[in-house]
Amino acid sequence: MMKSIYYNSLEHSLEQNKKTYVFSDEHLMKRFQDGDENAYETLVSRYKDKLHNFIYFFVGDKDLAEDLVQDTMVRLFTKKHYYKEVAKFSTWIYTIARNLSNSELRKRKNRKTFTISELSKDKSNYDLKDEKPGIERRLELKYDIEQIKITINKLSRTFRTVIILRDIEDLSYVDISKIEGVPVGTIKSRINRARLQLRRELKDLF
Amino acid sequence: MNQYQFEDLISDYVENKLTISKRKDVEKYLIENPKDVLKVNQVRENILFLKSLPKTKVSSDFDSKLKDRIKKESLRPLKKKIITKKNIFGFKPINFSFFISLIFFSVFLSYQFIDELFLLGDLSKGVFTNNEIEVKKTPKMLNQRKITVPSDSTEIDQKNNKNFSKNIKLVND
Repeated sequence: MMKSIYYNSLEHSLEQNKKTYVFSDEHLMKRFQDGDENAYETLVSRYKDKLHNFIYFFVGDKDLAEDLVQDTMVRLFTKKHYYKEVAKFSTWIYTIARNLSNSELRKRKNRKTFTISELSKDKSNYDLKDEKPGIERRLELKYDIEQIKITINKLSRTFRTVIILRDIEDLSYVDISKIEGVPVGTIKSRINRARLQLRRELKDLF
Repeated sequence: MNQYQFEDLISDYVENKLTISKRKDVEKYLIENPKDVLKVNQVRENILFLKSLPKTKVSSDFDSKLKDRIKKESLRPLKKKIITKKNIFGFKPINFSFFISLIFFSVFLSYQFIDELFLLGDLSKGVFTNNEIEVKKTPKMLNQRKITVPSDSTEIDQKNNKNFSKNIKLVND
């Protein structure tokens, strides 16, 4: 318990200042594999929001995204021994999240219950505050956030994944290539094509 | 540089990841095609916009829900894979049924073949009487075979060559 408080308080104080951590994800994962459940809690607190953001844009449904984050964390707990330290923890966990989201979308597609109207159910989540400064505020005037969410969901799953991971989650090309399991060159090309498609879809909003 | 080459390089150009020579190529292309400057700007603004989107967060009861789920997962007994090796004489049922049907089929074929051999054997012993061959009846050929051979081949020609001249009528007839 003390350990957990120590970890979390340390994490919190660090997060406030910089986005660097004392313990790397891989180190925490090693500790978790050795039976330290506090390390697991720390990993969950590090990744739950990031994964939620990624899955939310991927599936377009906030509640479903939360369920999938839960599934990912449960998978992390139950399959901890499958992780090998040769891979980055972040790419491993994003891969799990992507696979779970993909299979959920496939199930929904088969059931034919996934509609565009469903995607725009939780519009209230994207009400931006007026006091946002600079470029964000300026861009807000040009785009309808809801529109961009729908447009992202119009992209193919391959394009959607890479554009979310690159432009929203800010992952590197190398990390994305590991998550997707394809060469970096392919990822670069996919991102470029996805951006051009997004531009075509959104150019009327300019 | 053509339009397609330019489009391939847009992302790298916007993210400043091009080599100096390629960057110069892109800039040269943009000077020659000023309408494509808009494309670059739009891609750049899209990227900035996506990066500035507000981050979503999990609900406040996420941790407690997760703890409950993990507790349930820990209590759940491990699933043992039950491997049932069904086999018939060392074969999988599907393979066994395939082999059985193959055997039946080959027996059926060979029976047919033997039947034909019987027929040939009987023909060699056949009795020729008045243009007819009386074939001894094999088990399968009861009520069936009676082959007639015309005495003269011209007979066949006469039958086949019908006289159509009577049916031909000229227009003025």
